[in-house]
Amino acid sequence: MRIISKPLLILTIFYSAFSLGQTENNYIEKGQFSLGVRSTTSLFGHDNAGGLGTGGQFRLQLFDFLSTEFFADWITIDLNGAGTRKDAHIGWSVLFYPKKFGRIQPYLIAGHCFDYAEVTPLSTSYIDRSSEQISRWSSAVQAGLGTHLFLSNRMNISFAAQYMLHVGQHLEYELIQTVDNYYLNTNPSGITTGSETEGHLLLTLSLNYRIADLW
Amino acid sequence: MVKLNTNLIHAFAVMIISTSTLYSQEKSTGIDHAKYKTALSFSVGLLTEKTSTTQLQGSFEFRPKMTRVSMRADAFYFLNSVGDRPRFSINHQLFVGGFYRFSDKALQPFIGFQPGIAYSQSSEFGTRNAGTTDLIFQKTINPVGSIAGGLDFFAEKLFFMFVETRYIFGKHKSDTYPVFLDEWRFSFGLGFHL
Repeated sequence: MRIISKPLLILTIFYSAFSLGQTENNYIEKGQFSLGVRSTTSLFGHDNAGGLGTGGQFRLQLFDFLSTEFFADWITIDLNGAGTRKDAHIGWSVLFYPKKFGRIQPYLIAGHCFDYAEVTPLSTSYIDRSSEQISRWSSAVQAGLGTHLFLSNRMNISFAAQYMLHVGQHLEYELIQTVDNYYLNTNPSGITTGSETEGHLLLTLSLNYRIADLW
Repeated sequence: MVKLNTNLIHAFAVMIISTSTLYSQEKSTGIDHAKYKTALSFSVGLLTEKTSTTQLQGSFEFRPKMTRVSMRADAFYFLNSVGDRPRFSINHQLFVGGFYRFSDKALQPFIGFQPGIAYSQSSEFGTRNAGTTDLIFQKTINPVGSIAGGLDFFAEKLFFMFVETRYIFGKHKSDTYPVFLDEWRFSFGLGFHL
């Protein structure tokens, strides 16, 4: 059996990626309007528990080097079996393309969103803790890096990693580890307005289709 | 001036105008360039603990010209769940995502990924309302994802046969114990394509 050396394999992969990036098609141009669906994973947040989200977005490219993205996400997090956290994000971002590459197009992304969060402690058929549910509206800023992979002239898959920093009010609650489980303790007042900031990493995978060239 | 995607305009026009036009369109494009397909079928799901589910599945797929990538929406209407642990009394799901076809011939294997949402209600974990003492099973909307693969067989001008399987992952989260929505589903049937 033929054995391919590691350096050769790596070179081949880099060459393939470079070739993909050097196609002559103009995948990003001003005036493009696209619609997409997205799946989001939330990591390293307040609770050290991962969340899964689903949402949608549309993109409007203002200049060849700059695009905008308007999105909505619905993310739910299982707080280690002790409760549930639900987050809704509605916001916008600016995508900056430092250089045109082609089929693979990296970008910088930054933006703002409005954020609704709700934390519900676990109730059972014996204990009703619905009165301990807390929620708040807030806003957040997010920034990170991403890349488009154009599958065709009109369709692309995008992957972005962003850190989202919540500003303003945040929810006050604590996940306490018991002997063999967790207990969710929500602050009776629910909301604090302290100077503490709350943040988490968002990994977003989206599929987008360009439906119009507006100018 | 606005230049709308001609593929989309074409799609709506083709759906609205007469059957004779549909046939002429079909002849000019051929099955290798089928761009829209829709299907309705029953889907069977397998869960752990010897449990199975039945759903009604509807799908619509849009495939741009000259590519092997398509966008597809799938809706599952939960009918029933039987076995040692049925888990849910409601578990309707909606998915939208992308698929890739490995061939343009009559037999087309495909794979895809679709993010989605599940509208679900647990049948086993409820909460007791302190005021009325009623047992409440909360209905919630939760994000899910699905990896799917299968085979389409385009043997006819307007109809195609398909068989597919998908793994769905996610978790039903409500005001009580979370329940995994993970499930293997299988479906096959006859669809309509243009």
